[in-house]
Amino acid sequence: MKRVKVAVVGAGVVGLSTAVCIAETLPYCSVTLISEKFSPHTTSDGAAGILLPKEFPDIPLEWQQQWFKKSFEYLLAIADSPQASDAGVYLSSGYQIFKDVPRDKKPFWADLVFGFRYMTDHELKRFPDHKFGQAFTTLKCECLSYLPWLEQRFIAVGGRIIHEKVTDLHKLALNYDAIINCSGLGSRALLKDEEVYPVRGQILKLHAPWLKNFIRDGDGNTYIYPGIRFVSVGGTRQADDWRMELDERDREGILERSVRLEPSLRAAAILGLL
Amino acid sequence: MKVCIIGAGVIGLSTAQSIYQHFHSRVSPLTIEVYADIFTPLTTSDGAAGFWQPYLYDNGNVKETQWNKETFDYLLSFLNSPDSIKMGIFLESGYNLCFEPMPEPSFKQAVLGFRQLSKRELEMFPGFSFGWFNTALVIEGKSYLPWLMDWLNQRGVKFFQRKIDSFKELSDSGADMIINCSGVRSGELQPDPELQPARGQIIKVDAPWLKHWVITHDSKLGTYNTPYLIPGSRLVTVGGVFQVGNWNRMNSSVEHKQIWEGACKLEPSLQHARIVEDWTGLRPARSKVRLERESIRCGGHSFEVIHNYGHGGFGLTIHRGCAEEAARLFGQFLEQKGLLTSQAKSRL
Repeated sequence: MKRVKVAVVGAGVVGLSTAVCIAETLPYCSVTLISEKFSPHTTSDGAAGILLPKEFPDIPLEWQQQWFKKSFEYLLAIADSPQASDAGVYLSSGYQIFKDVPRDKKPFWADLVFGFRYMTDHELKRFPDHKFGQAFTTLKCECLSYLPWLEQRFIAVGGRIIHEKVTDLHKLALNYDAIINCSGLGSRALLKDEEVYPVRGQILKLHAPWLKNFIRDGDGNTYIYPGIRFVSVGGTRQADDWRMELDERDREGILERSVRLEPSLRAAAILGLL
Repeated sequence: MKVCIIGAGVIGLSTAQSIYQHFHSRVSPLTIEVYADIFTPLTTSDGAAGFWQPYLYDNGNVKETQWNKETFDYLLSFLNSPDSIKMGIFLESGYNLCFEPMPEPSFKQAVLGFRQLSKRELEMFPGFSFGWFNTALVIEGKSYLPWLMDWLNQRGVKFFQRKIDSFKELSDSGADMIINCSGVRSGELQPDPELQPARGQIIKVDAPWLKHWVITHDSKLGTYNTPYLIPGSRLVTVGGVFQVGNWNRMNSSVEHKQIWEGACKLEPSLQHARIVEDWTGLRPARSKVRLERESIRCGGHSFEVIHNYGHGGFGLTIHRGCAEEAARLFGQFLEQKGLLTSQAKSRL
């Protein structure tokens, strides 16, 4: 008998995986996932999905390591299984390159990915503007596949899904014993939390199936992530920018920078813009 | 000066290219002709996955290791050029897996970022206890050969679709030098007991989430007789077998099953991949590459041949190094004939 009624708000990767986690591990809970947007319309769907953490200054490093380690191992098990292609999870190798040698050459997650090492001079030759680089193998988790796959898992254990925008948590609380708020950027309005702010990103989807390895500029402004059906090329990092429309100048900048890192992209057809 | 090349696989075409590059401005007129009964996309070079990797060990054939490296460096230099995709060249990283610790391979210096696999990485491949990771290149014959033919066409090299039955045939028609790049069938032109077919069968599969090549090695079974998978620009090549002495060009359903099961065990996600096609090819295997000049006596005449065949399962891997060496041998011939202008000392 499911005695505890749980509501999870938000169906991006955070909401869906939280809902699945609770539904699968706590059988006395009945879990309802409520969200305005579902795949392929969530923020998670637009992300390339490369497992490459960013260091948060206000969270203890050991926690970040633990969370990343658990996520990595969990996804690795999926990548190693027959489910890998359905779930959209697979190994991805590549380079992170820096124009100037960073202060922290070995980030906190270096030992958690595979084969982390510094790039050799031979490897750096391709990038004359960059002085230093890291080579490693990590995982890629494509939400366009992963979210639908998680949804199936959720429904399989009795999870319930409601397509609805939550605007009042107090009202929601009348019907549920616990609420897990995974509404992402939506929390700004939902909780009146001014500390939540958008960081706008724009990408291009290119058809370049010959690209197998990723390249990321350590400054975070240029990245090339080969995916299952297209290559995600980006990007921008515009804080407090709410625009959902495409910016022509951003697009030109992204193309120009990425072609400089990977000249073969010149031959790539544009499949879509995000 | 007429040079006739027999064979239009990667060896024949790249040899034509090297000869043109080195001598077109130093020998006039220089006529280069390529004779073959099979052209791209039907050659052995076209069917191969195109993965740059020599056999693990060269058994003392250090020249081959050098030619392999030369080819790698040459192909790498095209990566940033606008032609790289037309040529079918791109980087790809991956895993060489072994059942036991093995000595480091001959190509460790040539490839990028060569390193041993960690214990953690090996856990992804149950049954394997040792191996290496590196970044290498793929060069797809189905793109590279048309690019080469285009390149040669633009420079006046002529192609003839014709099976050559003897060297004499070409010599009689005016060839000053014959270059034998006839691959696995070279024995028909001149018997060579060291040349044998090493039959390979592969399955091409649609599995675009796979981004790494994986080659397994079993010293008991020999090179390429154990599973391997090599993602290409469109499809993944899954193999394989290496059957010395087997001339059968037909696909075997028994081997298909064996190859498929081996690959799925290695990479479980393949179970959901769509199988597109099977292909069988004959690698021109030999104890070592035959790359040398020969003067053949026939009746009262003698004619000159440069042999460039026997590249086994590493033709694409070694092609440029061998083409350059063949051009060097041709240069020697020209010098002996006094046909090279004196100030342009051979820079080969």
